[in-house]
Amino acid sequence: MKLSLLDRFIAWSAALIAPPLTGTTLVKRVTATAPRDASAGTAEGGDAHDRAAALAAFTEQRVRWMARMARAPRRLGLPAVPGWRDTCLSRAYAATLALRSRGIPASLAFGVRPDDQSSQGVAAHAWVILAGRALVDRSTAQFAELTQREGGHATQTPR
Amino acid sequence: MTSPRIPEDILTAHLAGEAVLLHLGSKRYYRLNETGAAIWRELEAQSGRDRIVTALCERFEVPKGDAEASVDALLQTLEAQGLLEPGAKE
Repeated sequence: MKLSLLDRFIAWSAALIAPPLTGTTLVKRVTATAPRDASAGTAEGGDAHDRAAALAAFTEQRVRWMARMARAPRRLGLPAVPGWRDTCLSRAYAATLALRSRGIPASLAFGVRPDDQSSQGVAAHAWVILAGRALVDRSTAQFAELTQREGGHATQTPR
Repeated sequence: MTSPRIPEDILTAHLAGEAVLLHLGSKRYYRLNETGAAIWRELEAQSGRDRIVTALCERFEVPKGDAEASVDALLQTLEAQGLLEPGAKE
């Protein structure tokens, strides 16, 4: 799927802006708060979904690039530029911002699974969802999604 | 007496035999054991303290006193961590 010049510009901008902001409460504004509603958002499948997935993947790749550039000073023995770290949250947040600025109602989703090796006891993950589906990441099935209480008991949509 | 309320920035994941809470404000995770998870489910259903105690007694077949003690202890901890807004007492 070919991305327009504007899409690419937005992806770069999101990769520049989002990673340093992942520690702030701004992230909350694009987080999916209700349990997944598969009927919301754009129609599944089809061109719209493919284009969204392409834009999200492109944006996440740009975040990786930014992180690599931020690490470049290390080669000279200098500290890395803080802020542009390549984490699942910075990638997913950047992609969500890029999609939303193109009018695509994507959201951030968080999930966890028990992990006794980790200091917090859980391994956490973040990814982008659109119309109830993870967009780029295919490893999300191992994680139980974190949701707000509204909307009943279902925490996972079988899919 | 109104039931305690879960603030909006608390996200929950129910796993097998436990629950994980994420406080979006502090970005901290909390793990609840099986009993804690059962109590949390009741809280999600907006049950008051007494209903939670009854539910626990039924589910785990424990004396009412024990259930009351664990519910009160957990509610207190949750409130102290900002994971729960206390219900208004009348």
